Amino acid sequence: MKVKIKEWNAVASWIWSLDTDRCTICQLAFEQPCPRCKLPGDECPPVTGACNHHFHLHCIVRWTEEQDYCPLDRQKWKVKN
Amino acid sequence: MNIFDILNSQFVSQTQYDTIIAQQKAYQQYYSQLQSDPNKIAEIWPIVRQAGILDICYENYKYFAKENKLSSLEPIQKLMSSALEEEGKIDYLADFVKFMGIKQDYSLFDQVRTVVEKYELEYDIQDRLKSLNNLNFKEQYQTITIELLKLYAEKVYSEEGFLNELLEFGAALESIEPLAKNIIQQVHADRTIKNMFEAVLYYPDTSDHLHEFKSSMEVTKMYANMDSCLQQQMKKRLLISGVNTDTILKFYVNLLKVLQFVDSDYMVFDKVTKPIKEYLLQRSDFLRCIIGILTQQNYSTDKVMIFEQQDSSDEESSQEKDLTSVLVSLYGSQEAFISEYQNMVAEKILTPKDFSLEQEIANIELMKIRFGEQSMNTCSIMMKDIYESKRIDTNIQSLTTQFNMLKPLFLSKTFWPISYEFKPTFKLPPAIEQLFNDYQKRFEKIKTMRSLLWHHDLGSVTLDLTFDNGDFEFKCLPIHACIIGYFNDDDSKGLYSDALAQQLQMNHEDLKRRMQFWVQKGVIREQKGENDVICYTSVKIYVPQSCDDLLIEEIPEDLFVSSTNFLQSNQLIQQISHNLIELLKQTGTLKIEKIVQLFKTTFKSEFSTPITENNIKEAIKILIQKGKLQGSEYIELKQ
Repeated sequence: MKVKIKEWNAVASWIWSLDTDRCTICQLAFEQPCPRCKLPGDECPPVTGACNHHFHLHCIVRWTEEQDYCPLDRQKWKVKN
Repeated sequence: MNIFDILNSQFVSQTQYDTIIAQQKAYQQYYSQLQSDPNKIAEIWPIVRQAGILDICYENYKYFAKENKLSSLEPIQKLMSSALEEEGKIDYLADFVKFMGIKQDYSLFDQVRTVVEKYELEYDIQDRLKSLNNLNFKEQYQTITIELLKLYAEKVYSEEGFLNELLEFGAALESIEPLAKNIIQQVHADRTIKNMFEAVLYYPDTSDHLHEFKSSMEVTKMYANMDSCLQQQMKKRLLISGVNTDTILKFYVNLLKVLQFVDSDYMVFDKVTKPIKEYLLQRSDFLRCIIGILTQQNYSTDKVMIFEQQDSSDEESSQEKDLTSVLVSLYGSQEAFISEYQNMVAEKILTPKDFSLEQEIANIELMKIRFGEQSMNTCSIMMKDIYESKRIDTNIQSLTTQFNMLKPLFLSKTFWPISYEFKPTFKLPPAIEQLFNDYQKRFEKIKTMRSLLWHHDLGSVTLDLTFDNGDFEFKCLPIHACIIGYFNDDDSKGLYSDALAQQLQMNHEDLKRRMQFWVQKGVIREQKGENDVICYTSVKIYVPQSCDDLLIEEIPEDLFVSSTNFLQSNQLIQQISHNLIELLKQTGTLKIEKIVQLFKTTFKSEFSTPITENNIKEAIKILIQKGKLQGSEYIELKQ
């Protein structure tokens, strides 16, 4: 008998390749949108600081409007290049 | 034909001649009886009736009676009973009154009434009803009323002196008339009730008959009969396992519309609709049928009146609602409905079921209009994922042809009702694994910062299997594809279960269960050798089997979880299942009756709603299906 694959409908969930899985500011997974967004993905991405801590872009932007440092280690917040 | 007709004609046949002679004889008998003992004339009536000269004799007798002042009414009574066996002899009743007048005996009036009641109702009306079966209710009633009225009119305008008696007779007739009317209506209502089931079933084709039903019910108020008859029919013909859920649901919708018209005061609305509702909730494809109905344009905007308890008060009142909300509330709450709908869509997309993307998108748009964008947010994201996946895949595939049979779907975590904790139950063949790894690398290049988690327990594969008698196409789960892949170029030499299980990193039980897919399709043969060693061989000649659908049990039930689950029965079953497993862990084997008893007594306090024997039996059934329990009369944990 011969077997030939014509079509393979595969299923995968996409994940952000970060070492943490949730944003400590809003406590939601990075694959979920931040509390103010509806859709996850490129419209509500995570962002990494120079200190290697990750947060939702929107979450950390709001945070830095008040205080200028990383919520986890209190170093001055700067986005990693 | 009677003797006078014959004498007036010019040609007489043998039969006619014989008739004349017979009639002559009968008349002679009559005349001599009249002369000898007129009180016994009743014995002659059957004879003259048979001869066909009853009319003539009777005319003669009337004349005689008038002249001689009758001493007894018995002959007339007997005459009427024999005459009324034929139709149309109702005129004799009129004469009866005259005789009464002749006798000048008013106490005989009761006799009259008795006779009229007895003969009119038993004989005439019922008999006439039988013969007038083909006319509808209105015509029947009209015919009989006309007859009665004729009679009454005759009385009023007959000879003076008898006027009082006649008027009283007329009055008696009037009191009988509503009785007669009642009987007709009941007989008619009975018939219409028997037809009601069909009327609902084939609505709106039967909508002409509804007016009749309505007036029939309004007059006879036989709502209780209607209720019990309908319920009986439904139990027998509708709420049984042979009937499609779709048919039952359509019947329910029709029933709402019909009852709205026929039972506008909601006498029996509740009682009639309740058993259907309860039965529908037991059907597993209930939701899909609702959606099927809602997506048909001509239904979803229909309005029906529904009679039910209002949320804030204990009273029941009628309200006009649109069909969608009726059906949704039939299912449970709106959240339950949408949640179950999401599951349904996800299952369609992620498993080897056939579905049309355009249709699903159209359905979702409709649902959005009905339930609002917010509630359907999850579904919108599911659709967005599908588009995105296509876009990304096209991007990746444009650079190379190595993945051209791969059609991946990238899901946004938490928006699809699948379990993300699920551990893979098998290992991909090396070549396939490499393919997926390569694909993943390219994905990661295109989508920086992102990676993929493959769910190989989901999805579907379309295969071409080539046998000695040609190519055949199959659709299956990835695991089936991996299993069968090992039989490529095998020359129909067998593969041992051990070896295969090892390659796939599955245990024997699971492999055997999965292999059943191919065995049942007639692709693989299973052979047991010595020492319980199992060998699988591919067939050389393929014979298509009649059942080609993927067994739904193939998809592990843990895979799909409801994100919100408001359906009480489901929660209840889950709770029962949990308690049951704990119980059996301690006690070992238990008889079903004992289990039921325990739940009703010991565990009663743990449940907020009362548990029925059916709930428990259902939980047991589900757990056996899941492979957690075994047994039929005695239940135990499966090892």
